[in-house]
Amino acid sequence: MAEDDPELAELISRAGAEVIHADDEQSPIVCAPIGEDSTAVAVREGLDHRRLVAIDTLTPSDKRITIMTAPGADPAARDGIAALLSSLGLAVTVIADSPGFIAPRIRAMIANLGCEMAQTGVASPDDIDTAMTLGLNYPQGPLALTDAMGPEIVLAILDTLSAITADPRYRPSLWLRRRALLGLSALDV
Amino acid sequence: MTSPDQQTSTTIGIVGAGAMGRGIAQVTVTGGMTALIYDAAEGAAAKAQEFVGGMIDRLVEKNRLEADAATEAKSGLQIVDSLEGLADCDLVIEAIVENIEIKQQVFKSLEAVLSDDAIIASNTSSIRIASIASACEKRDRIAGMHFFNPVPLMRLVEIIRAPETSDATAETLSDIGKRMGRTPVAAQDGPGFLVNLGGRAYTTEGLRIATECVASPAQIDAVMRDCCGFRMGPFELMDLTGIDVNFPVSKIVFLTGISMISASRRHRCTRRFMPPGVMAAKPTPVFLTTLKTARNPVAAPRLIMSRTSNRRPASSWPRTTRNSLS
Repeated sequence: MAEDDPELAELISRAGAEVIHADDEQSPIVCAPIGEDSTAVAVREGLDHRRLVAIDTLTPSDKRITIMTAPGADPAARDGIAALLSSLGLAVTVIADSPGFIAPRIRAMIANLGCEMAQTGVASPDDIDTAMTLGLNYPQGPLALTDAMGPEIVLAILDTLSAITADPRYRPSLWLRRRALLGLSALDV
Repeated sequence: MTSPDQQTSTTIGIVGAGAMGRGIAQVTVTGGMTALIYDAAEGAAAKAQEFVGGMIDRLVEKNRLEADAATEAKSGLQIVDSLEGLADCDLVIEAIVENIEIKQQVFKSLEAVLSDDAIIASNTSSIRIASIASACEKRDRIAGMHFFNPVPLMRLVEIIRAPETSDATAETLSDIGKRMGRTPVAAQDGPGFLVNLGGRAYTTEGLRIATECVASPAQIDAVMRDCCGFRMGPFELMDLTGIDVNFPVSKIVFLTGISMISASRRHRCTRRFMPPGVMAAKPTPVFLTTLKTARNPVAAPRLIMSRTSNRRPASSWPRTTRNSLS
């Protein structure tokens, strides 16, 4: 299935690993979920959660990469993938199972709050982005961040977080949902 | 008041000679306007005048300001010993303690001495402008002008309109902000205004992730720095700001009712960092699930890639290569 996920395939290929296309019931299984945790992927796909390692490919960086596993995962699978990614010169952050890892989850929340502020008229979209970059030294404003991640991706992360956690904190803003569904920029009024 | 574009000189009164008041005074005079500083504490205004003068001299030493411009700026830096001394100001910016009763009293006193077309602005970061204005008679000339610390280095200024603030007042403050070398943004008069509201997601979600024992504060910080371009992780930022400042602001912002920050008030993580009566100077990484990269890694020459997209949004993905269902 490597061809289905080119970014993950490229990462693995760069590390020099061989990707096989049939389950030999012993090799580690890697995935790159959008908003899901490893547990959800394993259950949905009927995969062996002990060998499943999720890699955050939504946050590309030449410095660091995050991986996570479900409860009960085989440490050998986790450490093997960590070693593989370390060989690319990346610092590997190994975390416990989390819907949305760390970065996609925090970035989606920044984006969503920015969208909600636009929706509720706290300020104009442009002023929201200007304020957050100048006032907090953010690398980009929340609405520009939404566009950079892709409104559809942010919506997918939040919908999944909402479903998994049942916490209204993760409810996608209508501003985001409408623009994602219509294929618009988050800065479009 | 007359728009500053048509006015050759603008006099701005500053009430409060603390860090914010000093910074506002500095950008006022380097912006070619006159600053009159007042502070209720004896000698505080004079100390501020001396401090700001020194800061202007340093700008000259660093070749960031011409000597002539510095001399002119310092000549525009004056102090007064009573609120009555601000009577001729076109605008007075209040930058005192965050206490609504004290602010209301100052605003009422200013109303009594200022001309009817003078503007009164508050530099408050957390109190609603309408609440302050409720103590005044002429509310159309009252607004928020929220600077960020340190003022000379932070270019942003929030112009906050209460329901009764006039268009002319907001526009004049925006123009004056530009003359001060700031970038004004217009914000609604609600808890946290713009920046203090928008900034909640970063820290509260970091806290949430740490609370779930997904990762340690140090791990979260490292990911956000290295992978997302933030200068500081959420925990480093809270350290810098001070948990004692961050948590109360989170509680104030909670009043917006925005669901995305709904959990900020009750974060066990924050409460653990800040137990009753104790303001933690440094949060310690107590929420650890630190799984270190293997020192003796197991080779993984063969592996299986799984499809990982659980769903497609109704519209097409912007990056169709991100994931797909097979």
